[in-house]
Amino acid sequence: MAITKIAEVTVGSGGVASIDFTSIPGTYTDLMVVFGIRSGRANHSDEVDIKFNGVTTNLSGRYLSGDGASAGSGSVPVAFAGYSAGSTATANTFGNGQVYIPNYSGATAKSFSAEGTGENNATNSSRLIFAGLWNSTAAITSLSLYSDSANTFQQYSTATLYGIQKGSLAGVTVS
Amino acid sequence: MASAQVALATTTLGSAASTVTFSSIPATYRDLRLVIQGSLSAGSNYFKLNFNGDGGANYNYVFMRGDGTSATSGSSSNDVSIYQTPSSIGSGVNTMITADIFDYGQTDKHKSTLTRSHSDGVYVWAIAGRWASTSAITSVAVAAYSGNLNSGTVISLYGIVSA
Repeated sequence: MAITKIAEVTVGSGGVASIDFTSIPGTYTDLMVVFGIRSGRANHSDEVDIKFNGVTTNLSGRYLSGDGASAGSGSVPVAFAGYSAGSTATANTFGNGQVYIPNYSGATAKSFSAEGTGENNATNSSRLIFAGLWNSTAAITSLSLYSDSANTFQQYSTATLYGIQKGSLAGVTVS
Repeated sequence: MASAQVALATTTLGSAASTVTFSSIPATYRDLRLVIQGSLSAGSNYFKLNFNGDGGANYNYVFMRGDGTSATSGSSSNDVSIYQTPSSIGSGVNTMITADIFDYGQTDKHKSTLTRSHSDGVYVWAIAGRWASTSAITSVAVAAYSGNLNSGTVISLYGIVSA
């Protein structure tokens, strides 16, 4: 099996400021984070950011997004992970997304991709694809999801960290 | 998870190569997933994907692209490959590609692909491709349009098992 669940978090009552995964072993090839989050921001959505090893510097990226009416692209000095639902979004909706980080323990700059949607059973729902770079040669040993607007993640928000391991299967050759 | 992802093969290029080919892929999975992280040599410009050694004009794709300022869309019909970075990128620009190849072992349908890719600081793409063939895919080739895949490029192939 190439995908291993490393850890899973479900937010309890009262909410949390961030979801943190620490002491990530360097034994996998890639990492993947899958989340469903609702934040306390008084809006239909909130932006979920990600940081590695507790650092918010040397981050950059480009996004491609659509909201049902128009598409746009931009460059940002932060790391988008996706959208969460905000407190005015349809009840019981959570923004869902996935972040994929290849070669996370290598001694090269860390590229990653993210995609997600801010769920809302009304207008103002959106879809995001993000291309990110953490320009650091440090191995990633921890990562955190947090609200760009510094709001709390609400109860029942979840995030799961997976390790993806390279390998080979008898019969398949590569040349 | 509703599906399992099985590692089939991985290569890390120790020297530049024009093409990496995964061969003898068994038809025992539902889908395939290709993950690429690496870069191209000068003048190569594009990562591209071919199946079963078919270099004919049997590939079609449509893409949307963001460059940090605006979003655009384009397409190509009867092409000789499915471009995984369908815009010219510079040499040595770190690029990440995740391509899903659906129902690759089926012989009653053309083969569809969905790709998310980006080159750092240049573009981000989402690409939908089609190989106009009902043949089961038994080999997948990743190549540079011209020139080479740079040393250090990592390419992994996974099989996806239905739940």
